[in-house]
Amino acid sequence: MSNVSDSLLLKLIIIGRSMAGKSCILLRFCDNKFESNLGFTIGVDFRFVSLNKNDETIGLQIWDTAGQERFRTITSSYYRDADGVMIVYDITDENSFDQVDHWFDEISKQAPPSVVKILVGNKTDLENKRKISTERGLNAANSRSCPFIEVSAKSGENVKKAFEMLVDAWTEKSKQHITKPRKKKARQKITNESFEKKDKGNCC
Amino acid sequence: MTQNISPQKLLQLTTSKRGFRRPKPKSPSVTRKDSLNLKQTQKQEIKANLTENEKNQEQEKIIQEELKRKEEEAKKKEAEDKLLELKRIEFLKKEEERKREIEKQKELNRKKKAEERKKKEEQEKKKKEAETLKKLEEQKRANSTDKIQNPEDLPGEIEDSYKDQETNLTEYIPKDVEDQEKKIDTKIFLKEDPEIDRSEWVSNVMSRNPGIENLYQRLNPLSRAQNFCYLFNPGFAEVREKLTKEMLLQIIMQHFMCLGFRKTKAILEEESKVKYEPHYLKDSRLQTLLRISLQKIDYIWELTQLKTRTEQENEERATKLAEHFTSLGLEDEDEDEQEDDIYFWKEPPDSNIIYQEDKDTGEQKKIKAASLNKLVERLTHEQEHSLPYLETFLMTYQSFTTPKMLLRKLIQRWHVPKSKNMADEIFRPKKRSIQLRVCNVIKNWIEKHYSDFQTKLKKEMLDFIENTIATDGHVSLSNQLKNLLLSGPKTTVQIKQSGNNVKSFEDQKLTAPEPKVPKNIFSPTLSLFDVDEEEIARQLTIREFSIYSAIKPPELLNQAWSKAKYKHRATNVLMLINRFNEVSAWVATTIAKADRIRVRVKVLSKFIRLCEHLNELNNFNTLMAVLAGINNSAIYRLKHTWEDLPKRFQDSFAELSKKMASDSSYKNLREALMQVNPPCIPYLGVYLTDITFIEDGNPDKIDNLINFYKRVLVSKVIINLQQYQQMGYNFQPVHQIQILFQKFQKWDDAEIYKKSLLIEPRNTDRSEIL
Repeated sequence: MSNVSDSLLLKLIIIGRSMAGKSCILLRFCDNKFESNLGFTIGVDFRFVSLNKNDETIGLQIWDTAGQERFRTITSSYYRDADGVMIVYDITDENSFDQVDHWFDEISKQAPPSVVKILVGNKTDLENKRKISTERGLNAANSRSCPFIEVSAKSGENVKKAFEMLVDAWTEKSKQHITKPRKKKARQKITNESFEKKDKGNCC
Repeated sequence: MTQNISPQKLLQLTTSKRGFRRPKPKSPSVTRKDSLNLKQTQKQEIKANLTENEKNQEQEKIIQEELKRKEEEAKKKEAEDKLLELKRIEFLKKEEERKREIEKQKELNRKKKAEERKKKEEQEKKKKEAETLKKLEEQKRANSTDKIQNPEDLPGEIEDSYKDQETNLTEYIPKDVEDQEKKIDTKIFLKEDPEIDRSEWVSNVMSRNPGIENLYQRLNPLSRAQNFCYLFNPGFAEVREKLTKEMLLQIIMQHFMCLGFRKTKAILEEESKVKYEPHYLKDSRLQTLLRISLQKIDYIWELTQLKTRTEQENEERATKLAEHFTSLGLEDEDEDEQEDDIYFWKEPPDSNIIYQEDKDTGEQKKIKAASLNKLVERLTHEQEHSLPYLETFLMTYQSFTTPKMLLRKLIQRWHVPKSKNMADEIFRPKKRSIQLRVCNVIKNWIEKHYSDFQTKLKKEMLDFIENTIATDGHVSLSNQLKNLLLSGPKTTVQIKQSGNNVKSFEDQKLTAPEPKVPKNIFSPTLSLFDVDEEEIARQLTIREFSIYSAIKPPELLNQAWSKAKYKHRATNVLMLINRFNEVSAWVATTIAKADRIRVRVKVLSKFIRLCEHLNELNNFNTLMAVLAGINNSAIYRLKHTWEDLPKRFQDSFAELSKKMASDSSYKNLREALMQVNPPCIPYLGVYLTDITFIEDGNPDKIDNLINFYKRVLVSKVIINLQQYQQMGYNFQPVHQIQILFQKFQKWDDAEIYKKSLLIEPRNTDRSEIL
């Protein structure tokens, strides 16, 4: 893993209704330490994760606007050079599922056509409070022809898998479109330093 | 004609919504909807003039209307009953819990008894008041019959019905009062005595006496309203304090004056020995007050309509209702927390506290997690003082307890118990130093977090200062604290004045730069295009800063800004976000509105110039808003407009966008903030995201103890945000320009996008565009 900077780097964004657990998914994925007592240092960007896939290391730069959902317009510039979008809803909250359509519309308007998507239903640990059946989630994803998975940020179930599925979808799609000029640009932005920081303990 | 109103009708007027909604017709003086009896008499009057056919129609109409009305009322009642039932169950549950608590804690029991006694006293007072009211009514009646000008307007039948009502009232009121006393006694709010089922008896009486039933129907809203009030009363003591007998009498007398009942007023004045003070309002205050309260009840009623709604909607309604009650101060925010409260001195020492392993220094042990008692103990420790700890605690305590509870804990802490074998020489200084520490905490609390003190808490605090601190031998301290509490909050400007190098506020006003005012400043057609961008930036900044500087720490706790339950706490944060969205929408709308590309380029240039000025002013929040507006996908897609934009503006836009980019968690913006020279308004979103990650990434409790380290993290963000609140901007507001910002012209996103497609359709050439 000495040559991380040469590997592929994808920009992923996580969107969804506030309190759907977006930040929890990210925290779980980045640290795999949800009940982190120490918290983390603000300013140092912890949102870099590397993923091993078929002997290739793929760097993920994950963006999250958790807490800023009420700033309605802020996200538009966000989508612009995204490679993948994770749309998160809360399986115990009907409202968050209702907004899924809205997010798909946003993506089609704002994000580049090459973007890949995944629909994620969070909080499977609260099975007894479930309002949205797996089937409904699956149907919504199928109608937009994107993958679907249910996860629990609390238990960690499927969280890693969700990101892997998103990366898989991207690899699949990039095979079809051989040209991918934006990738280079994104890669240049990232310094070696910030990358290695995350690489030490949490490499998957 | 208003003089013809009889007391009973007055009663109706003031209690039924209908009385307010539809003004009574002037003539004839009695309207149809008042009662069946009235309708019948009316009908008799009309009878002679009507043909048989018309009569039937009329009758049908009346019956239909009556049916409708009854149906409505039944519906209403059902919904309210449901709510009452729910509340009752809740009360029962709580009561059970309380009983257990009572067994455990005798002290609490004693308190409760005292409360009950108070309430009983209150009840007796009420009873007396009811009696006086009844007297009043009789007087009113006497008075109004005196004043009747056309006696034939009130036929005998109606008078009889009123008599019925009268006897009914005398029968019902005492019984009601009795019931209420029982309710208060047991603290269970039952509608009926559980042992005797009165319903059968009631229905029998009703079916045999249609007159009574009719009356019952009419009085029912009254008794239900009364029940409702008992369930949601905000506490007798407060009401009593504000609403004195004199005040009530004044309101009643003013109402009489409005109706022209001078005699009644005079009698009332004489009997109560309260002199009527003429009020400047010409409308009846009584009516206005009742109308306001009824409006609120309307809202509640609407929210409690459970029929024909989906479960999801019902839940939304439930949260709205809870929110509404909380905002009215009818429900405590964190009730459950008081349930497992342990008396301060009963918690064993050296337990319930976890320290953080600090490798660097052994000087001060930092708390990682602890119980509330232990946190307060540390706050008022005899030997170890830590100002940062005190500041963090006061900033964040509302995320794990309430101001009320904190005061209670401080009072408990104050009363240091003396253990048997402790010598006086040791006990006295110990007690004294702890008490001084408590005073110190209170001083800091009042000085730096004055907004925590709502009326009720202020009173409790004052009571503690005057009756405990002063009598325990800290007279001068008590005076000092009292002055602090009564002198009100210190504004940012005042803090600035007390700072060293800053000139006084008045001096600053004088040195403020001359506003760049356009020539047509007084023109009614003044638009923002007439105003220089620098001045727009200044005026936007003045308003923005006034909201930003008003943000208080509790607004940023528990992610209040995104939770319905706590939304009322985060007023300024939400206001700032709202304004942000308005500015963005305004920018996008203004650009999209320009039909011709040349104008569009001009408008876009103007906004980029505005961005430059906002950047110079360090107003990053508004800068972000304007950039977000320009970045709106409907604007961003206007390829030709961007191509025609002069290079200078293109570069400037790119540079500013880079500065404000969210890359690496707003790395550039954070760096810029560190070097900034205040005044400054940072972009609020950065803080909100940081707090969200801290909140979601750390548990509220560790081993059932308050995770204080989490609060330390949150407080660091809040301190960061607060440091820019201290130094204000030195600009003169220009009224005419400020008005333009009060209501931004804006379309919704879909509209802007539609317009965008219209002015530059997809795949069109430059030559095809206007």
